[in-house]
Amino acid sequence: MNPQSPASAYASDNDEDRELVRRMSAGDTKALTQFYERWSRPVYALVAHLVRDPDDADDVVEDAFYQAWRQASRYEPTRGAVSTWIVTIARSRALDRLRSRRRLREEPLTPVTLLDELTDGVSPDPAADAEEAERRERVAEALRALPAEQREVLELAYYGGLSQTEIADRTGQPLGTVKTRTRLAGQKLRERLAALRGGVA
Amino acid sequence: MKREMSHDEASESLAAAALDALSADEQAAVLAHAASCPQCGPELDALRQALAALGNATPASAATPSPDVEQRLQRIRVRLLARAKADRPPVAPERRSGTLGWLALAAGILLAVLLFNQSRTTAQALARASQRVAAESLALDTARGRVASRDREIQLLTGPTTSVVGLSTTGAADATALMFWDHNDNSWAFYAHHLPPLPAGKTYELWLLTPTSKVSAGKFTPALDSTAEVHATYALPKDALKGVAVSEEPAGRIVIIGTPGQK
Repeated sequence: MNPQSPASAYASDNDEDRELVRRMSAGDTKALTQFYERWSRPVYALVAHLVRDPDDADDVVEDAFYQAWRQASRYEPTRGAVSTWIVTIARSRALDRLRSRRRLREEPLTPVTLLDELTDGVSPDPAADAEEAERRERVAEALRALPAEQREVLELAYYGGLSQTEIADRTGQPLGTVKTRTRLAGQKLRERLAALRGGVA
Repeated sequence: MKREMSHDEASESLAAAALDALSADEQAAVLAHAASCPQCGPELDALRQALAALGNATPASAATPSPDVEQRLQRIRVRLLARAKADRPPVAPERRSGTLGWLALAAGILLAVLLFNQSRTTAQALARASQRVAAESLALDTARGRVASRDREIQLLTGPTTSVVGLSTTGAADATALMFWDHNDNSWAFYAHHLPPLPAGKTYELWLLTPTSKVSAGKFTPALDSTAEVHATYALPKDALKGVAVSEEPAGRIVIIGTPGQK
């Protein structure tokens, strides 16, 4: 059992993650267990947020970790941290689920108010340690630094799983405006989080 | 957007591609460009990395309204492991170095670009077809995994060569555990949750109880989330198992116990 809390995207934590992924690619199911212990909570939180149905979330999380197990040999460290890899897989599976469900029955979209959730009204998870709280605070800070209209686009796309066209429909903004906001939001988030990361390392 | 994507156009859409917020055609065109562009490729990776930080910081309590998340995570883990064990070894590395893979991918993209120039309609049809094939093969993979997982679960739970022992608490805490014993290869797998925290200096020990002796299957300490997992290999005559127990050592106090036939 791994006593560590889920790692952040820092290089020092990533060494252990890479070793786990390497062992997974060699068929070591104990490594898969440890990998799951490290990442299942943040991954579950993201997936549940996206699909908004606990049973769907269970399936998606299982599929995402199963895909990571099957494709462990394809992980490329030069392209990003292990955390990015598993989160990207999970989000992609969640979007598949969300979009196929939307096609089946035109679901109303629930509003996303991520920043509020990150900053207030959230009773802290007792298991969450200081490191995790700090990481949330850093992300909240990076989001706060965005102009409101860019933040909205980013949240609708990332946590709402909406395409740019859907965001345009929903906010009543021209598609071109949505595209510009997406681009600027991505750029700023990247600079902001890179700066924060650099400050710690 | 049925046209070849220029560098400028692709680089403008990188954030949207990292968010998977483009139409399928656009998404494919941007990814194809990024895979061969020394500027856009790393930029796309960096954007994904930044966005993953959002994913990792999803507020747990807001995102997971159901109060039984730990139980769900536990259940998912059991299903996941059964599935992983059923298809071991996993997909072997297709190549020894990533470079070759990227060369192949780049060559594929080059070919796609050539085709694209030659006949846009054909290239688009190809791209759509290959997307469909990829989606279907993933779905098939998932379905196969599910079936294998169910088979393995069923085998574990009801198979002629497997015994299951459910353990329940002797005290106030709601600790529970399951022990799977596959007679075929004498492998034992033990999964526990809600174990009471250990006093300093103590450990848990897992025991196989027979009519004449108790056999230690190993010592362990629970994870921070009060779960534990123990794997062991030990040959025992089929009818010799009378119970499974976990004690707190060195005191020797039994914490959870169960007998075959219980679930």
